[in-house]
Amino acid sequence: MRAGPLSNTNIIALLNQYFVPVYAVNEDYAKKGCAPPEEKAELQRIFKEGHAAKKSVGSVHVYILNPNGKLVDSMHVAEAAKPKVLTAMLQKTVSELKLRPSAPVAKVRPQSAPPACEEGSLLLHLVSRSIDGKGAWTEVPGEDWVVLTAEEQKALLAEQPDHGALKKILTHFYPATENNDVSKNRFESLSATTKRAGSRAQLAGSFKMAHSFYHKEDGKAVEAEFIGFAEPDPAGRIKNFQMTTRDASYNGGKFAVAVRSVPK
Amino acid sequence: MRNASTRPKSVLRNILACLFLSVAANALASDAEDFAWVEQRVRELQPKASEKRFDEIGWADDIRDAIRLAKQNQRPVFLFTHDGRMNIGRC
Repeated sequence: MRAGPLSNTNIIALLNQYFVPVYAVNEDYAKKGCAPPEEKAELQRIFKEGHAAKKSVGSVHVYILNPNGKLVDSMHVAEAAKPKVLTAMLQKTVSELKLRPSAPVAKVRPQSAPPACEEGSLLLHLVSRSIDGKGAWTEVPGEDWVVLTAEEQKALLAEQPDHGALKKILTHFYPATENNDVSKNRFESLSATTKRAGSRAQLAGSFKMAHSFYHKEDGKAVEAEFIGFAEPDPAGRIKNFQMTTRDASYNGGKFAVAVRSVPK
Repeated sequence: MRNASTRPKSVLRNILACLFLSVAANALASDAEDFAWVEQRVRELQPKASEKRFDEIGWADDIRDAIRLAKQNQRPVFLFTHDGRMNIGRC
């Protein structure tokens, strides 16, 4: 959806001018998910209305609610992913409700937003993208944010880089998969060295990390070689950081990762 | 005046110094090449504007926020439920 209809100029205009767009991550709305109970109840209420009205209901779906929040239309993603079909659905709603175009009612802002950081911490932005279109979802690159404390930065610059600090970055080195719970990732091997390279420290190494595509254990693993440079400041923290993969594979496909420090 | 017998040692010292400088220069050049390669690759892998069009949409924070805005502005809600994390491209 993101790379298809939700990147389509006409659909973006329709959503911004006539609708209140919102997306919900099923994982967050599951029983153990992090969404507040009131949010979960709201989604369940929409599902119930859909079942009662004999409309299409499912976990990966588009739902249209009228301005009072009542479900009026729905569509399975297999259909909604076709720009023409989704456009027709949206235009039908616009026409039936006799809507007039106006500016977006929610703020247009980047949806991949950096977390709040403490003073002295290092904010890293990570991009992971498929190289060959195999082994993972490949339509758009994945992004993550990593925050390193002052202590973790110092530990990373040590002659033998601290594996804890390094793993905090490397655990996000996987292509786009349904499973994004990095607490489930398991490092099977990791070797890394730091050497002085002029005013910078060069970090290089390789690792193997178990990472399941879906949430159920499937034996899949990332294997990657990485290289990066960290520029220390006089206090021993990192003022600039860049890292990338020399080679990375997962589930029969190749992918690449780029990490760089960004101003807070 | 130099003693002829010390000449081989001096020559050896000069050769070693040259070797050391050559190795050091190569190492610096290699580090510089690696750094330039990393810098370029990190730049090339960044998301393109065409991959971030999703960010051109004004998304509500959650379902309740969307319904509140819908009532306030007399607009319908477009809700997309999905697996993975669409906002960060991990879906």
